[in-house]
Amino acid sequence: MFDTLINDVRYALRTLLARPGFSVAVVLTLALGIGANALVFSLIDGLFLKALPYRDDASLIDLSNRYALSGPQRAGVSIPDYIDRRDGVPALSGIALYTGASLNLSTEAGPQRLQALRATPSLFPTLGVDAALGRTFSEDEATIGNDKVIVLGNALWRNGFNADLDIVGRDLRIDGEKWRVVGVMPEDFMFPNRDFQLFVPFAFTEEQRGDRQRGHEFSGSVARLAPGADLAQVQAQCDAIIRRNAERIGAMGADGAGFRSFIESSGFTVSAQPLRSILAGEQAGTLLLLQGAVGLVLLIVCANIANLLLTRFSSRRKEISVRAALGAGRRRIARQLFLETAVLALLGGATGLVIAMGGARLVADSGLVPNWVEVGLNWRTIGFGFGLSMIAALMFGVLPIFSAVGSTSRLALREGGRFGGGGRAANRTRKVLVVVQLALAVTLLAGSGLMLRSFAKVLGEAPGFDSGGLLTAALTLPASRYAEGPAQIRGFEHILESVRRLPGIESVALSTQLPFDGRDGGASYRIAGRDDAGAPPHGHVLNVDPDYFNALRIPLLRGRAFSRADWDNAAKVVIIDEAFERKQFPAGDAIGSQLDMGRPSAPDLYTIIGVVGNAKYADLSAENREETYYFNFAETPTDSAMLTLRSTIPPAALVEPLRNAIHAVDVDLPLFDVKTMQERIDLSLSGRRVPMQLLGVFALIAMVLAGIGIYGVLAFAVTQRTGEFGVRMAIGADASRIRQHVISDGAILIGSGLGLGLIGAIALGLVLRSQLFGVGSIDPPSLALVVLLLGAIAFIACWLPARRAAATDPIDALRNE
Amino acid sequence: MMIHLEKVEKSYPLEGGRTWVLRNVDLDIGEGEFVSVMGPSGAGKSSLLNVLGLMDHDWQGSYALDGVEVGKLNGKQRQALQREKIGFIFQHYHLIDDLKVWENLDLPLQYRDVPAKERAARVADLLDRFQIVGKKDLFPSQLSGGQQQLVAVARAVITRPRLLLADEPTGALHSGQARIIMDLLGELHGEGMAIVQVTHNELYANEAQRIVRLRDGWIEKP
Ligand SMILES: Nc1ncnc2c1ncn2[C@@H]1O[C@H](COP(=O)(O)OP(=O)(O)OP(=O)(O)O)[C@@H](O)[C@H]1O
Ligand SMILES: [Mg+2]
Repeated sequence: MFDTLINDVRYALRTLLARPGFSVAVVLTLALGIGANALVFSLIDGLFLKALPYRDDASLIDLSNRYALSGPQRAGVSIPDYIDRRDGVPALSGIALYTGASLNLSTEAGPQRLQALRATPSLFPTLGVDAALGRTFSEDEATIGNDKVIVLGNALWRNGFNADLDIVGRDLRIDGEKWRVVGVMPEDFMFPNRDFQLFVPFAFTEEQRGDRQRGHEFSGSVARLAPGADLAQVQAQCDAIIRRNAERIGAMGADGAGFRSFIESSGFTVSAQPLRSILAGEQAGTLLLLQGAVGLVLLIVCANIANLLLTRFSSRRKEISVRAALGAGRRRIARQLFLETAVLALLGGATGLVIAMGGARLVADSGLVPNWVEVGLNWRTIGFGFGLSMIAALMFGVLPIFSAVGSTSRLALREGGRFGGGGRAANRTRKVLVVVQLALAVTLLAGSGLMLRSFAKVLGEAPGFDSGGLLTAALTLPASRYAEGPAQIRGFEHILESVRRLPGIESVALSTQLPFDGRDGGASYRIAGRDDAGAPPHGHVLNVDPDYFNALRIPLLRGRAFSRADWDNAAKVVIIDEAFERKQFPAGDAIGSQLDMGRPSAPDLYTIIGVVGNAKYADLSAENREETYYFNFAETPTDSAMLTLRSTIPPAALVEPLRNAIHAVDVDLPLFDVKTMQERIDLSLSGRRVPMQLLGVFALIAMVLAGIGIYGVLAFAVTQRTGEFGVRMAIGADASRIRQHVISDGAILIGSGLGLGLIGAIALGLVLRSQLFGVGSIDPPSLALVVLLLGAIAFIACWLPARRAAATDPIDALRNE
Repeated sequence: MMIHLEKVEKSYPLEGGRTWVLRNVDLDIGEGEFVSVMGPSGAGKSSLLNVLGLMDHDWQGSYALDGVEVGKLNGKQRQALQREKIGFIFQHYHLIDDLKVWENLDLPLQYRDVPAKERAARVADLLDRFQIVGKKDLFPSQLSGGQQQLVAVARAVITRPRLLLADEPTGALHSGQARIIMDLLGELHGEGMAIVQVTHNELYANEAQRIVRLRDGWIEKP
């Protein structure tokens, strides 16, 4: 038994090697199909299946604040919120608070800006991860004064410190102060993604622990469920705390009452979700969609290979019937043929996995999935690749094998040499397969057409400012030298002055945020003089300098922009956008009105001096969710800002001069996140662009395969029918008749394929609806284009065999019959 | 003379030389004449028929069909001449398996752009005359060899050719069926059709008015 199997395998290999062209065609075609599927699967695997680098990651949760009625459904948490939950939620066995911070490390090569995660020492035990070298933080290091300690991420340790094993205990100069390295994290560790290069303790001041800090929600929190606890318990226990707080604080005067009514009217609560789903982001739907698309590609691939096999097996009918005549049973013959098919499938699967891994790395780098996702070969991706190959082998092998084995019975005797006669069923199968292929290709192409048109529409959206010619960068002033507001203002003034002297500069602006910089800041406000009950409205906020609107070319609609005097006097003025005006001042009485950013007992008033056009900050394809208002940068200085340069020379050419200009002001001042505005916009669209590109690639593969499929079927039919064409010529058909004959056969296939494909395209359009922008799910222009394109390709695929048929030499054809 | 061949030579290139298929063939066939071509396998009989039937144009010498010098025609003209004057019958019938009997008969008329009405009439006539009306809706594979050849003859003559070329028309048939076909050829000849048949059967050969014997491409002088 085993012996014969070995023999059969050997024979299968020999047969495949004897026809290298055929074998390579099958293997490569299958590799495309498996490759595309394994690529998408490996992304899904990395996001959802692969273990996170934490102990028992299934019981880790993200705990965020939620404003069920008024505002964000997932907001950060404040320090007092964290302390409440750390001490008062038995359903949690651990909880940590973290926030980002950028630090400037002094190195011999100059300042280096590092992205740090400021985290409570509980982060590491909560995640269940220990340092690879040294230790993580102790609790007393999270107190002011003891907090100048560092745990290095593995990548920074390797790249920045040459994996120095003696690093623990060494001091680094950061922002002009000495910080001690206490540990290095393991290589696979990341939290909450790979942006963060090092970890520092999160030490709270006494003030930060107070009730006043509620609402300052700039941190995230991660927690671990206690054994046996679930999300509902966490939710209930947190809500109980929130109720107690509202009662306690509500009893404390006018401010307390205001707090309480805010908590109640905004539906303040928590959102507890598995950590994995938060880390995975929002691409799950897109990935499933892509998996569906590559599934279609695989179907096309199978149809194509089935056709190749049908052709191959029917040209081996003689061999097969001889074997049957020699006494091989049908099962034996079928087994032999299946072995050959399986060998091809395994080779195709292996090649496909190689393609997939290369592609997946490219896609992972493109920003479609978060940067912590590691794609690569593991037993799941390998199992998926080979498993799918075997399923594919069944799909494309069964029909040809049955038809080959089935024909052995009534073989040779009748089929002798008649044309058309034998294998008629096989021919019909081949035609059906081609129709299916063509239909799937139309479907995929139409889908990617929709995505492409959507993308073009999104690109055509006006952002509300002029994105051309802008170079942008982020700056953080080291705290040691620019501790106080006035020092920060002076520091930024020096920088602006120095940058303005660069060649080609039209304007330079300073702001706390920029469109498409990935940052998000908001605050609640009140219109002074209106005693609105309930939750105050919330809006998007940034602080900008007098040149901001000018540099971005955001139009001033009414009133005035910030002036030099506003800057010098740190004037308490505010500018609102059109959306704000429409919402709060429909009567047009905005200018001169005041916003109250304070508490009922201590109003903090800002006068509205102007109204500017709406500018999009996060999503080019959507209207802003909220109104935006702009404060005077000089009035509430910060240590970090975004710099925007509008120049007459290409922004990319300004990067080096800009660095030099900043360096001239302060050698310890690193410039980071340097990008042209166009790059920021492009980056913000990668969630849309990458799936579109992938779908496009898959659709092209489908199109090529469908073209090859049609060609293959018709070319084979022509070969089979050479004799018939000879006869037709002998009884008077001229070349054009023969050509017509083949083409009309092909036209029936093409017509049915395109027709079926249109139905598929409409169905896919409906599935894609949520991803579309500016086009309906049935888009006649792109459908027409797809039909024309595929029709043209199909026609060429049909024309070539037709031409060959027309060139048949009747004498040859008849003699060979 | 309907057919006048003079010094017709046909050869194929062969490694290191040429292989000769027809040598110095002189042949005249009169209007309505019935000629048998005989000779051993490989003698060039089919090749000669291909030349006569205008299927082959790659030869030297001169061939006049009804006074038209065939060698001087271009492809289109040759095909037009063939359509007008010539019908073929093959040893293996060569009916088109995907078409019903009547469709097989209809096909040559289609290729000649005969209007549909007239085509229907001529097909009906012929089915009647060959007594195969009952078979008209069958596919070739549902017929016996003799019946298939009957249909093949009908298909060859439906265009009313003046010259019928038959390459071993009875070669694949047993004697009873062969007899029917030979009678049919005799009948067609009686109606004035010129016929050139290739046969290995002396008896059937003798039913023609004249026998041409080929050997290694040469016509044997009697
Ligand atoms: N395309 C070709 N290339 C080379 N030689 C050819 C070609 N076609 C025919 N021949 C040769 O020409 C010779 C005559 O062939 P032809 O078919 O005319 O013989 P035939 O008399 O009809 O024989 P048969 O009785 O077996 O049908 C043969 O020797 C054959 O091998
Ligand atoms: Mg012959």
